[in-house]
Amino acid sequence: MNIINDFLPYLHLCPFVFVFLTGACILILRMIYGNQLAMVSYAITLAVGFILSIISLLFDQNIEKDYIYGESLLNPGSFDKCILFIMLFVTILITMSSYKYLEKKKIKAPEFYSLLSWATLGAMLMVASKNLLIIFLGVEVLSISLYVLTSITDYDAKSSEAGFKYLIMGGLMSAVLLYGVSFTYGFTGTFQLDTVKHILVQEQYNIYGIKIGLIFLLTGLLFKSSVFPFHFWLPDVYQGAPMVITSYLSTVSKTAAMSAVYKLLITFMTLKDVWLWPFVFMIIFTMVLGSCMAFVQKDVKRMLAYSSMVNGGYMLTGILSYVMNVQNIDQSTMLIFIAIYNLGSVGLYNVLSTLVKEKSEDLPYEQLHHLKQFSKLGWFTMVIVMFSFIGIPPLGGFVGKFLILSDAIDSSLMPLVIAMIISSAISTIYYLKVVGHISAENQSATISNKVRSEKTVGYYFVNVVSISAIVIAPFVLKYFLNITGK
Amino acid sequence: MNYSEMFFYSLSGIAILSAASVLACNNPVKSALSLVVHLFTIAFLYFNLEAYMLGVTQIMVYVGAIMVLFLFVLMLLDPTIKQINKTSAFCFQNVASVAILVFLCIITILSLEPIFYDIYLKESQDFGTPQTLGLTLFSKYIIPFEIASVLLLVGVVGSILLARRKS
Repeated sequence: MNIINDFLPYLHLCPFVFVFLTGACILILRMIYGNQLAMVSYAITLAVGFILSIISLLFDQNIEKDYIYGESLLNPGSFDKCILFIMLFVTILITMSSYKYLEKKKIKAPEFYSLLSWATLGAMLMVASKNLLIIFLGVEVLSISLYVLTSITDYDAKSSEAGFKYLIMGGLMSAVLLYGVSFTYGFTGTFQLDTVKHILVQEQYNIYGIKIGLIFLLTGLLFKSSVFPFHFWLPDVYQGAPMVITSYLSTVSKTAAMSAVYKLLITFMTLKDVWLWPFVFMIIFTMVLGSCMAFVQKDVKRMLAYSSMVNGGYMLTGILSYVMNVQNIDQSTMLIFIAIYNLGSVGLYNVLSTLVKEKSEDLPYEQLHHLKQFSKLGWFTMVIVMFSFIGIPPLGGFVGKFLILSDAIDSSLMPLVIAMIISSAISTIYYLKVVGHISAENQSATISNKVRSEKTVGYYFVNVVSISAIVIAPFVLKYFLNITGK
Repeated sequence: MNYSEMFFYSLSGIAILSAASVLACNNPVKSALSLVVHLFTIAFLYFNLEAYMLGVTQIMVYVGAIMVLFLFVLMLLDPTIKQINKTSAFCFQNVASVAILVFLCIITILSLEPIFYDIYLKESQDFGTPQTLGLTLFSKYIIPFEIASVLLLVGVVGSILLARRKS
């Protein structure tokens, strides 16, 4: 009994421990069985471990007090938990859609999956903690796994280049983030964001140093979420990375960074006059410039990189309008937008990963032709996701954009509303371009179906989940809004 | 100006100069040696702040392990390629100008208001000793400590994975 009592204060760490152990188990399985195990078994291990993690997330809600030695380091609230659910679920979906792709690309599956689960551990830490130290460590675990995963393809020079670029820029920005953390710690004496907020409200210390710390912290995290002046790594990395990792970068990694930015903005609300207007301008440029750049791209992956940047701008608009007007605006707007964006993107990249060639990660628009003959379901998913991104009324994407727009109007952030409408209008063109290309049939440049990998159970499952999430979302929405009670 | 301050300013001067010479030297071995000097002065700055454990760790880890590894790799490489080509000087100017710009920005911001009079951190009796550090690391900060070990594991797996692949 004593042993159990010793472990009780640490029970809330279960979700994280499960995710870590999943990665370790996969490597151990690889060590014991060598090449005898099929690729699928590693993917199944990951899915099982993550489902255990989701279940333990559900269970530990009654353990309220996890204050070990006076500081609560990992204490996700209900909003954070929803984000964690989304991230874990999306990672499972990515895993299910990936194993055939890994075979095609000759990527070592066990190492890939263990690094993927550890990257998810980093992302979870970023979401679950309100402690700057843990957030920084989470950023590092996530980034270092992603540097490796980006350049994991053996023979592809572009993949190596992408990984190297990501490493150099990400390393610089990690240093900037750490500088911000040390400034904040030096002037407040704490890593806890709640305590920092308290200090800022009371103004008992000189807050000038904290302002400098805030600038560095925001710079580091906005790099991770690829906001306007820090977006230069984005298209190259997205293009060079394996398709599965591109999917991961634009969903889980981005969501984690957004969640961290959200926590920072909530904390530093009293210093609004420092960051508000620069931040609004950054978001405006992110949305408008991102959609203009997406419009001129010739490669689908590059286009989707800018598209994810634009969607990040929408997310930040939602976050900013919540932070500006906490009393009247509901958090569920952000949750709904993030969930629909994530699930849509996963479906999209799932289809695209069957289309890339064995030797190259490039995906020009012409390679999308004949998708309709290759896979009716894939074609349908692409069309639904594209229409959802455009924001055609009954679909989930429309609901997300509409809620964010109305929130932004409520918080009287008119410049953001206008920029968002403009960028939506521009984005219609390039999303429709994709729809046109996937529906084209009588083109001379045919790509044989041999290049395209086989359709697996995971492929069908991810497509069905993605479509149903986007189509059902508007109807489930009412229930969601009732739960949070505003 | 007391002795402690003089010590601090002279050490910081040496640290900045040696950091600049890491970039300025064309010979990689000279660069690495300047980096050794730089890391040593930083360690002495830690000693000056009475963070003895941190200073010793700095010397052992950076100077003892990492810099020796650097020099070892440099020796393993072709000894005839000692001069990095001329573009490095051009790069150095760019990097230096950006760094000086950022530095001036920070100095300007800091000098707008005197901020150092009420720094909050207070040092206790046994500040910086190995005992305090160990106790803090393994009790209050046990979770970050474990996460850091996960980070190292990721680094090891990742570097082996990248080093062993076929080009």
